[in-house]
Amino acid sequence: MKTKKMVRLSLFLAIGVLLHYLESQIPYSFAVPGVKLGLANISGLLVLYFYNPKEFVFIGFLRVLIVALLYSGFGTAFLLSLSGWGLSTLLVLIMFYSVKPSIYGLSLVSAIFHSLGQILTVMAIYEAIGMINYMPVLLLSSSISGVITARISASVLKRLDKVTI
Amino acid sequence: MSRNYSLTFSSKDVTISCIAIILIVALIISSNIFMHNYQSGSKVVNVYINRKLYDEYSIYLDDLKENEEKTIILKKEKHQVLLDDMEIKVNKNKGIKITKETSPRNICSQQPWINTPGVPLVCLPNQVYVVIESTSIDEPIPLE
Repeated sequence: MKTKKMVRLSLFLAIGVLLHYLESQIPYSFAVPGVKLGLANISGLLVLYFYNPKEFVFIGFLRVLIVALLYSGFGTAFLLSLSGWGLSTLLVLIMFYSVKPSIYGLSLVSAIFHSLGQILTVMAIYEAIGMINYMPVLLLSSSISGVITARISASVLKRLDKVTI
Repeated sequence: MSRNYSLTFSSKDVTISCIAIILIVALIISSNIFMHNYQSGSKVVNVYINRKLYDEYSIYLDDLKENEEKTIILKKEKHQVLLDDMEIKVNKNKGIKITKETSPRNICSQQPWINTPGVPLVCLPNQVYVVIESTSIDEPIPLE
């Protein structure tokens, strides 16, 4: 990997980790656990725009690992992050290769299936099908957060396009 | 550097999102149909700590009077996995709610009253799971 590429990818990784940390400081007072903005996904969208899906997967996985190392540990929170990341990445890649949507479609799919991945993991851990009933609220919040992160990412990318990093 | 996708919203995005939402709604509906088959008989509030059912905390809703409320107290001295003592209120009409707990930003106690059998209250930081179940089942609902 060339040095320039490695530095750029490291920057995007750092942005993802930092956004994750900043978001964790927001005092969400929603009644349903799991409702959040998902700002860290912005870094994944930036990587996917400029680089190959391989880098997108690699940086996303590294972000989950580093967040676990720095903040959340390797318990249930790590499992939830990993499962959410895994399912959303899989669907994003399927969409990317087949349908080729815009940033909005990719972000929406990523947000929706991130929530679904986490719910499925909690269902598996507690053997509780009833957890699926959290999905309607999470579907709504994920759709909104998907559009917001896509909008922010598109604004950033339009400016980055004009700049040589 | 390449530019791998468009930054402009298109009709494809709406189609994909609608398909995703329809699939997930279908999953929710089929799960509830599956759960409904298990929801006969009397209702009991069960408390699971670290995936293990603790019978001593079980409360049968039929034994409660209208609007009667009972409190389940989980002590950290007894359950080391808890971050601190926890309180769960059980109301015959309103259902179940976690009212006192220690977790990041007290997220567990922000969940509303749950009155639907099978829909759980989950407090992952404390590894606690509270659910109204039917007495016609002896084990947690299997996923297969």
